[in-house]
Amino acid sequence: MANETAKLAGYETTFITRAELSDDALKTIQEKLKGIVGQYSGELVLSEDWGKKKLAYPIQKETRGHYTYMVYSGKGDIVHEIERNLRIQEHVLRFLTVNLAEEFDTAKFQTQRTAIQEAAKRREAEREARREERAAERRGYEPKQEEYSAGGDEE
Amino acid sequence: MAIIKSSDSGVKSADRGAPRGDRGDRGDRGGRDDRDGGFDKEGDGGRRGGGGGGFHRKKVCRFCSDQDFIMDYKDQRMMQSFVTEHGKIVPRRISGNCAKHQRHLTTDVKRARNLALVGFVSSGADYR
Repeated sequence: MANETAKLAGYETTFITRAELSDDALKTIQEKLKGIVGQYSGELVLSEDWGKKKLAYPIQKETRGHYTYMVYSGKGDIVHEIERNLRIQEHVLRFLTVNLAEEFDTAKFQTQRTAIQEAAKRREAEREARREERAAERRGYEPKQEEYSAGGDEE
Repeated sequence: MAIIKSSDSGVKSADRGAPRGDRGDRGDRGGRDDRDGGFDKEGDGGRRGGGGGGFHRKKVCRFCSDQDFIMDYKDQRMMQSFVTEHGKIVPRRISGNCAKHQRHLTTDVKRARNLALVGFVSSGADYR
């Protein structure tokens, strides 16, 4: 609390660019946003590339998009400035910014993030185990036993 | 639960007087309760099975019971598991989520929709 610069607000922004956009062009956008974060005395905590994904519905007639996710802190209008820049870019289809914390703590965020990732990994492992179990079961008894469960859920 | 409590307080007030009226009240409540129970059976169907041989399974909020199950709008697979094939958010009475987590979930699904991770409600017609 002593020095005011320590506590900045934290945000996460995800934006979707056109799948055909070249890597270089995407890089320039990312660099530009990085520069803005610097201008607003913030810190770019994380910049992640999710790669090209199929969109759940077409945006501007595109069915695929390239996702970029970044976490940063900054003061005042940083979100305004970043979103303004994203809006200027023709190749940005969509963006979403979420306020993570009014007083952002980088270390805390990192620990939380690793916790979430580990949890996801554990769940993935569980799912894998269950799938194998089911596969083993199917191999076990060949006759189909899936008929009777259908009646209960419908109505 | 609330009905039992109110009848308890009714017993306390009965010490002061008018025990008959109180009993009458209780009888009324009981009657209403029965009717509610009947309505529930009809409404839920799957819960009691309606005599169809189904069984009651208590649903627990997955976010409450499993600490590893952390809500995240960026997790496409998780979001899709709480959405019907038409893109509707699965209601609480089906998914079994608690009120708090269902509230957070709706905002998260809506965020995911904005990012085209989850579709908006559609009639099922494919766009291709």
